[in-house]
Amino acid sequence: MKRNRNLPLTETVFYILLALREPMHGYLIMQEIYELSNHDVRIAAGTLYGAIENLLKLKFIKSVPSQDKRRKVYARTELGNEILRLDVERMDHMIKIAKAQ
Amino acid sequence: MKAYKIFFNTLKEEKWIQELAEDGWLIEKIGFGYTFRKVEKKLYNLKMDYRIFSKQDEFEEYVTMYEDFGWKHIAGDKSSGSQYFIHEDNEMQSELFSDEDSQRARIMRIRKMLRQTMAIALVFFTVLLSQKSITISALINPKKLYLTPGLWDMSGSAFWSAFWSETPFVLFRGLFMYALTIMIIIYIIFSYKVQHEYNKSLKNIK
Repeated sequence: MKRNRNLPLTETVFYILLALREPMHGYLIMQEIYELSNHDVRIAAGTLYGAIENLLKLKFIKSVPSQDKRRKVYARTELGNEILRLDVERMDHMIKIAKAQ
Repeated sequence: MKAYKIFFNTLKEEKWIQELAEDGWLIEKIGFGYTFRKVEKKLYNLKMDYRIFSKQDEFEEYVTMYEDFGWKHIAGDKSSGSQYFIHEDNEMQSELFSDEDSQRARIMRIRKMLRQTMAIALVFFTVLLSQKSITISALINPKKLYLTPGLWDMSGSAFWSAFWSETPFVLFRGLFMYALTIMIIIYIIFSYKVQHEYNKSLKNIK
């Protein structure tokens, strides 16, 4: 089986996709990730901006209409769901074999 | 305070602006020269990002997002490339980038811009050569700058009158040709040097 060339996802990208289970804008994504990671991962503004730009290019996320004119709101796409699932399976397998040892 | 300085290396420009901020001089405007404003505090959280936007609202959305994170945009515009920010929390050490990939990506954006301008300079130089605005042979042999047919076969007063009447034009053409060639060569040498420095900065991110 040929592996998707976007795998493995970086920690930043993995958390962004995970956070975007519902639509939100940049700063909220950072806060959500901070919570999800038990206050371990705090993504800086420039890193998040660049990652969002990349994810939009890859069509893993899309920008969705919102009330806020100055902030773009993003949501995960079907492709984004799929890549996230694949990476979870990949890590799941690694954890299983590591624990079996 | 107004300061005039030319930087080929954008990272060195950033360092200079940061050092001035630590002395209490805050960058206000970058255009023809640099404008600084005296501030009470010494600012340790001045950071530079490098981005060029095609649309004004993309630029505004970008600034809004950074502001949500506590970064105040202080210098730069849609197409300036260099975007300077200070963090509202001066006490805490803050960064614009939290992983190596994005730190590297910033330098790669700066390097890409340099490469694009280099490519334009090379095209420009080639066009000048093909249009005969610059001719290599005339640069090596200034006699070729004189265009009067048979000038160098003339003798006596015929030669001197033809020679002196053309000399002002030759000086003008020659000066233009030499100055432009030297400028382009210096530009290309500097660009290569700076590109090398960027590559070194990229390697230093670990």
